[in-house]
Amino acid sequence: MSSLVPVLEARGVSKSYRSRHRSVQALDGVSLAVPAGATLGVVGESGSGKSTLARLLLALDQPTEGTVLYRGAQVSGRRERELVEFRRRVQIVFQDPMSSLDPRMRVYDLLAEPLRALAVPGDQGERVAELLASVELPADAARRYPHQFSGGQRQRIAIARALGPSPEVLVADEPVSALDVSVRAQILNLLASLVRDFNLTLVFISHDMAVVRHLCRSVAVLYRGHLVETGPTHQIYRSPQHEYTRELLAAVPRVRTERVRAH
Amino acid sequence: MATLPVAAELQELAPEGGEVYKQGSVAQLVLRTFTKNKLAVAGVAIVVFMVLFCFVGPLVYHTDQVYTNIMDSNEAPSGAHLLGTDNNGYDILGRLMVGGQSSIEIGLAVAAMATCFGVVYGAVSGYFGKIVDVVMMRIVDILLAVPIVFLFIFVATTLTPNGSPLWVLIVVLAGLSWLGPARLVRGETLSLRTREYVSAVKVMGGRSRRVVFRHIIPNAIGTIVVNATFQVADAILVLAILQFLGFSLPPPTATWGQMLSQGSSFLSDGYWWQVYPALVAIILVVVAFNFIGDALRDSFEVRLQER
Repeated sequence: MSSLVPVLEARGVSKSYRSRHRSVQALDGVSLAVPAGATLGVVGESGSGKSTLARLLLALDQPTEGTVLYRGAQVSGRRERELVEFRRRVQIVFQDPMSSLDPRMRVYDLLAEPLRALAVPGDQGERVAELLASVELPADAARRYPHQFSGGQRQRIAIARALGPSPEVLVADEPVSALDVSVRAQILNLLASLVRDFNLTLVFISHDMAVVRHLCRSVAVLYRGHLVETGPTHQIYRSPQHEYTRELLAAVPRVRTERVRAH
Repeated sequence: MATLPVAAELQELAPEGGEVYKQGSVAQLVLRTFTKNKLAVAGVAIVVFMVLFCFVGPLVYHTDQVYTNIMDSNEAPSGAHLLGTDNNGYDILGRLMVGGQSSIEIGLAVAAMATCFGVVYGAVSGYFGKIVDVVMMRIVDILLAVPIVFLFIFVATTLTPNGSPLWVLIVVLAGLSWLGPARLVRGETLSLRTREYVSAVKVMGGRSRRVVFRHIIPNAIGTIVVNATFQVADAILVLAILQFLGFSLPPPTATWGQMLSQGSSFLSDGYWWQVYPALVAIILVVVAFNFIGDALRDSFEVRLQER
């Protein structure tokens, strides 16, 4: 029965941000279930609430309405010290590694931080070396600072850090959109192989339908804070039901041969 | 697996590719910009000179700064006493050295104490925000609103019937000067806490204490160092003012402020040598620390531009 309970679930979550004069509804009644082993792409244009959803799923922000559940247990609204297990199991890779890695810390300390804070058992030094190897970085990278790496390498470090506590769910919030086009494919391939090797459940947030198609078996489409469409990737690509999904798909640049193959 | 492109990417880590980053280490860059600034170098030179003068000088230039010698009081500068003597017969050049020791020590101690407290206070206030921030910052505002000259006179007259111990002086001075760093760091924290790496630390299970001490404060270090430098200058100045107003340390201790205050009462007798040496020493050190602080601020800004 436990296999039927989704690993991560949002139940009717809404989030509004209030400034002095007006409030912005970033998410409105979104319900989303991520079953174990799924690779789910969350797509939408900027401002559609993708990143807000990511922050809610990780209990970094509290929803104004609704709840977030991890294996059937509520995580939203919990105190941080009750979330240790959740933090070990659900990790995130942020968009821009330049800002998600503390510039004043060496790579070793960056990777060791979650191990320490979450009291992950085992030898720290060994684990750090293992993590660097799993993202195909040399062991001597540990002694360096983030600014000494290229953008792609930095994102590898961020991915290695997220893998530290051996999570079962990895949320990737636009992990390649801050990178040079030339290294995007490498990072995406790395993510794909990590998902396969470590049996990760992946929530991949992106505005790029082409990338999502490459990486995810199912898709959820967000539009202005509403979930407009969900389903298996191939189905959504073949017959998008919502007008907005069709627009998104039309925005993907295509090579003619691909269109021929798709029909 | 995309092994080939990865191997190409890794070559950047090889010595010939990895070491040529234009900024080198951040500290090197800051240092380079700093040493290009002439005023900064002058400031450092003055501070080094004054420190040597105060701490090494007495080893070379022996004078008695403990026992008074009324026979020699109020002598004008001469071969025997290069800068003359004061009302108690102390040699002024020698006293300038000894007084400088306590002035510099107190200045550094006050700056360290005020900075440590102010930084933690500001970081905590800014990081937790909301009601915590409101309450903590209103306390700062209230303290800032107290008229400072009035406070000086109050402190100088109440705490010192016949000289107070050194630590009282340091705590009082630090108590007057932590407000600046607290506000500065609080402002810096407001921007730092929205950085993604702070969110990342939370996801990694880091509690507030880790975020504040391992991430926010280290990343505000530029602001903190610059401010601490100014704090030293301010502390030496405020110390002089307090002593001028009557806050004195127990008798054998000498400070520049005390020399100034004592000497000024004999100025009308024409004993100019009792006032000017201490005055010049105070001005030199305060100006030098301000030069250093200004240059540090510029250097840290350059670092930000190149990043």
